[in-house]
Amino acid sequence: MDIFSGLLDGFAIALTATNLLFCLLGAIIGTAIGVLPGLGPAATIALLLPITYVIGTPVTAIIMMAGIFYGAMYGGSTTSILLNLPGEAASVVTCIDGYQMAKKGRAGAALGIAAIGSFVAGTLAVVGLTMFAPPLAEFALDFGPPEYFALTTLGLLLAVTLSGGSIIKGLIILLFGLILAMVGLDPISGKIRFTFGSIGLQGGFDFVTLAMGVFGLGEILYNLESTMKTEIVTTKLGKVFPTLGDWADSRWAICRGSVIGFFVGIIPGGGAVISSLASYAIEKKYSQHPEEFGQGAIQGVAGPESANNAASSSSFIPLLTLGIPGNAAIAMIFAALMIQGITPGPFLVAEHPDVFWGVIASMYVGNVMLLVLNLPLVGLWVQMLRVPYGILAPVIVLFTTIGVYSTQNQVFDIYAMLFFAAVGYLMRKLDFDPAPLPLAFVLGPLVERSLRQSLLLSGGDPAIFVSRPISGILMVIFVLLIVGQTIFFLRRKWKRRCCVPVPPETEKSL
Amino acid sequence: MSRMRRVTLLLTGVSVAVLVFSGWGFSAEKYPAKPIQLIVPYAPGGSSDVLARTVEKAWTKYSPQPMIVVNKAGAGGVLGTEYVVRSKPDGHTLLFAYGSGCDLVMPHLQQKMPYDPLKDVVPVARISIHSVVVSVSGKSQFNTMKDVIAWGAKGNKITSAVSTAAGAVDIVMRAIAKRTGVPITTVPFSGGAEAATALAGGHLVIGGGHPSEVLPHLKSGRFRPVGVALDRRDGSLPNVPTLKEQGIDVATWGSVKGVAVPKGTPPEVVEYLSATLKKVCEDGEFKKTMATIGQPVDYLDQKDFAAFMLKASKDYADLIKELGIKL
Amino acid sequence: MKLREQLTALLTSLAGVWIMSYAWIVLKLGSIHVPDAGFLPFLCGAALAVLGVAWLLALHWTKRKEAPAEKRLWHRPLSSLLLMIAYGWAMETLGYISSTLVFVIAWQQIVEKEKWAKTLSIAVLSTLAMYALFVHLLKVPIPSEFFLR
Repeated sequence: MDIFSGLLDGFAIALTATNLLFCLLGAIIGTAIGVLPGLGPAATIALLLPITYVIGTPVTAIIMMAGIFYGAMYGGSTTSILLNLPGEAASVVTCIDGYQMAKKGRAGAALGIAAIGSFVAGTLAVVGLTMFAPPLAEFALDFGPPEYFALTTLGLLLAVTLSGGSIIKGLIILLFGLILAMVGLDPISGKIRFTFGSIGLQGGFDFVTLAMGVFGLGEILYNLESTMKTEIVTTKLGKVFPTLGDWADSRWAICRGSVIGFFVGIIPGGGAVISSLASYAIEKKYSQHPEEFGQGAIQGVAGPESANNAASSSSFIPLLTLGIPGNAAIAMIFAALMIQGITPGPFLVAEHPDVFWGVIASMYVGNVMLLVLNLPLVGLWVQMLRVPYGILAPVIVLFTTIGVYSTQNQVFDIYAMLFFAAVGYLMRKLDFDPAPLPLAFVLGPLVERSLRQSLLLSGGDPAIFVSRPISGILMVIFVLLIVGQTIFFLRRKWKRRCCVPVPPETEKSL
Repeated sequence: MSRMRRVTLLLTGVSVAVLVFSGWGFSAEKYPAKPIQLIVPYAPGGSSDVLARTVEKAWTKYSPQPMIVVNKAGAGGVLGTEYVVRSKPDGHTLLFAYGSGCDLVMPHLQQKMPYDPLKDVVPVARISIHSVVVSVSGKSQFNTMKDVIAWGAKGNKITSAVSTAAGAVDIVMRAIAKRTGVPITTVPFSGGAEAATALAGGHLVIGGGHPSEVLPHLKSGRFRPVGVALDRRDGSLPNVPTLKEQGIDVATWGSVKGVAVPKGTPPEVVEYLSATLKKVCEDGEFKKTMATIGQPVDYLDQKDFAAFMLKASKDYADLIKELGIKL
Repeated sequence: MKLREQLTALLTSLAGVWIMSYAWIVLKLGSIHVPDAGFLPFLCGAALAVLGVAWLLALHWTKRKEAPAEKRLWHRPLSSLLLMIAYGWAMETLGYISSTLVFVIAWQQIVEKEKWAKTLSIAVLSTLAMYALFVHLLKVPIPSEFFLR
């Protein structure tokens, strides 16, 4: 069956009343859990799985679950922008400029551009998924341990460049993140590290607890210090929707983000995170005004938000064509397919064309639904900032607490989150920029594992990193970036020293 | 203002009552009196979780109360198990996947466990055994494990993807190396899915995994199974010979998936659960789903399962001692 | 501010040294060819130790003006953090609904010093909303109430 007729059949399935309804339901639930901090798509799909047994055909169930998954990507930016509270690793980068925009009264523009970018990226990625799924799947398989090592070290380097303020402090936070990620079981040696005898720590920290604690609750604790009744928004709310100027500023960021997200998202593992990081770094480099980044540049929201949405759609490629689940939520959809009696993999198109094409077609429909659903919501979310902080703060605590609890149903995770809240608060007090922390935390284990796996494979010969084409190219990019960055840094320093009197080092805070 | 206060107080009272009584309605009459929590000590989406959900789906046909799958992952299964050990022994909190690595393997490697996996829980029924199946890439020249060993004996380096260090798959690989005298470099990944992906990409020579983890790759021909490390053929892969059939003396219990309850649960409750799970295991639709997810049905009742667990634990202890695996 | 930063820098260095020794003695480094569990932790510890010293030196050499300190309350963050810890503990012992209700009341009274009427209405409404959303709609398995067990 060729792509065109397959897709037409898919639309015939996706546009039936039942499937439209469940697609909408999935989109609504997805948006909701994306907005709710902590509660992620994987946990939600697991919780709602029993309901899907009674839905009837497997296609309908999978359409709804897919809707929950990519819907969560739309909602995920909301709390990042409004409350500095990233719902998942891929929207950490959105916090940097998104929250600054909100503080300046431009939350509506940020939310609007995030929704539009998500729509464009989501749709482009589904087009890519329709046209090129099988060949790209093979590309994903080419990523072995050496390639992962090259890719993730590149990601770490990008994470360092993100940090505003002092370089020393940025590096310290990065290392702190790496060490936090080492807590628990080391899968390569089977040894248990940094647990101090605690069973709870053996499994390591969870990303959600870290992000909620350091960003969301840390911010609350810091705000509580203030003697005035704290307001998040210092100026008035301003225009709710993005203007034409905003669109002109961010349309290329959206396109670049979509392309990066689509390709990097195919790679199982850190795809979505690295794509959002890469997008942010590229926007900062491309920009005429790189100094605006970190102060509320709209491209810093549009690019990464597009990238993570494109990545979420393209992460269906390894699932549908190879039977490889690339992340926790996709693993849950994988499990749901298996329970419905369908084995995902290369035979899916031939054995269950209704599922394959039905789900893909529903993703076109779902993205339109999400845009229509999310744009009007922007006005509503912005109003949320008018809620007095005395009410908003405890409610955020309630949401994060149950959200974190629901990830593994354990009170231990709540304590871990509170530990990170204290860490985040102290970091604010000492003027550390927390942005590299969660990124190092996510990428660190990947770097360490892939390094040691590669050396096991090659028998300790480091040539493995440069002798293979993909990792070789990535390594070259890595070296070029470091050299370029160093030259740039030294030249700036030298210029400053000879031409301008040394200005007193002012502290930059995020 | 005081009227306002009275109204709020009233509102509070009513709401509390509503909240409280909404969860009411069950007392200690006849078991099962309320929904049964099935604690899965692993993350959603894994093979234990899929099995739990398959059981949950069939369970409703045979019991007046539904099962609710609750994932409590962490510390390789220890956290979830500990939760069940500490919960009320009334049969409303069940441990699922009893017999996995944290019950059979970890106690022999780790100095301390917060509970005794054999004494602090009571086995109810065995549902399935996830054996370890050794696979090679579909493009490779190997058809049996013997071919692989012969190739390795010529001095070629055999690399193997395993799900985690000192896990069920790693133990099998190390045992093969020890018994055949041909070295195998095991490369641990974090989890079976990751290990399978790396083998699918052709980055290693062989790989091991449970049939349910590698099934999509076996179906597509990307993997070729070369041997099962069980003392008999695996029900879900009846065409794959065991390692013993090929003259390689390696057989383990892989990862056992059973149900257990906290110590002190009334015997009649255990009996009820075991009998109902038997009905589930004999259910036609259940068997069909199990075939598609690549998990064999290996039911044992409470007595046989208890005896089996003692034997399986001792087998693992002996093997780990022989291989000298230490952390 | 400067003293506080110097202290943190010193602590960073000490932590780095501790991590190095922990990685060396307990985790074992392995070799460059086959690194063991302690290899990367050791490198990270070493880098932290160096960075801490570098920070101290940087603080020593740069002179900067101290910004006039804004009046800040230290007891509100502390009391709210303690409340949250108590909430986590109460959730398992008392049950989700009762502890949530008590937590919001305590927050409004201790952190915000609200009037009782407002406190109670906020507490009841937010608890009801949480129950409806998470338990009723999303079916999150919460710890059951103490007196219903």
